[in-house]
Amino acid sequence: MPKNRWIAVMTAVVLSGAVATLTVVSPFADEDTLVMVSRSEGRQSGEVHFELRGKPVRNLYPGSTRHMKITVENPLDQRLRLEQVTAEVSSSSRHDCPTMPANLQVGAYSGGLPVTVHPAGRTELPGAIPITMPMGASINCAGTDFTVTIYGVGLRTNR
Amino acid sequence: MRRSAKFLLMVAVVIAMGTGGTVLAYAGGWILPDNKATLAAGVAAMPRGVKPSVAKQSGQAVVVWPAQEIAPGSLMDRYVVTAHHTGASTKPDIARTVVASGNATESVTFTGAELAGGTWNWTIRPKFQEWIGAASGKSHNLAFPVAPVARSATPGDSATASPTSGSSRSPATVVSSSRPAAMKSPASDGTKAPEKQPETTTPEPVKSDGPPPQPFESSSGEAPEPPAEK
Repeated sequence: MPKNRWIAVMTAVVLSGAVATLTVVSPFADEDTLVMVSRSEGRQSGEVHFELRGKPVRNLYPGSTRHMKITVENPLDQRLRLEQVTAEVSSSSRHDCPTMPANLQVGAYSGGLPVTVHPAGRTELPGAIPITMPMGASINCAGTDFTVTIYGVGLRTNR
Repeated sequence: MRRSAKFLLMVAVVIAMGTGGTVLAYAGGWILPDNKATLAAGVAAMPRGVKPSVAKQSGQAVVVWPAQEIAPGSLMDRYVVTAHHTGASTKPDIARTVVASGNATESVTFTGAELAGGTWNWTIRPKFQEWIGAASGKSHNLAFPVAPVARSATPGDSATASPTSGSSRSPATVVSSSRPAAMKSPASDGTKAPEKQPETTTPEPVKSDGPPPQPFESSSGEAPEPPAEK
């Protein structure tokens, strides 16, 4: 077989593979849904913004746990299905009270998921994110303000 | 052959445009996020201690202060109560760690024996586990003359001589006394043999006994009561 013909055949195979991949793997193919990420880091293409809000927790002290409630705001004109919520301690207001598990711990979201949010709607999640100050936390942490960053992953869906 | 290559190239372009168009169609409402979903988690600060009230009671110093919270509904678990000596001579501070009772007020008693011969005031530092707050302001002063030697001068009086025995530690019975009365008369709140007390270290009873030095040591000086912690 001539060389050019081999090239043509291989190109056709590659294009077919690309089409098949788009059909099977693409989030668009899965019930008209998209993967949406609220996190601002990364700025990858395909990110969609939706708001995660919550009430700040106060008066933590060694051995105490506070539950952070989260509200999801869906700015889209389609329903949003929130699949995952995670959180982490991202900063501390005091250098001598670093963000480490010995000083503050953020647990896993406790409520049931997924949760559907109506178009342009707002929903308070049924669960909460536990924020715990362990026993033995540094006394330097007294009066400190920690920042907790919340991440959510959801799908835009017609159902 | 060139025709095939051109054809495939066109197909590739069409597929790419189709894919891109689809993406753009779905991306009609997309907004790249420009803010973080961040929330604050505030830690309680350790409060400063509250200035205590002190009063003499049966020759002891009873220190009383209101319970404190580290957060609404969560009381401190301990307090460090420190007696500070004032005056010309220097005596070391006397510090007590008091386990909280859970009541609205806390109290601790310092025996007359450990305070004898000095004027003292007190401060409070709240504790929660290993966290400790700043010291309160100082209470008013209480004076404790040198040990009540007059009592121990009389033989056979040892059972009732100790001014530290049998005192009440109930906070309800503690009342902040006015300083002059408390400082000037150790017998002002006592009921035992007041007639023996006014002249402080009067040598008269000592002289009447055989061995003079012993009465000055007194039973209360030799064997102070155990710490009256709560």
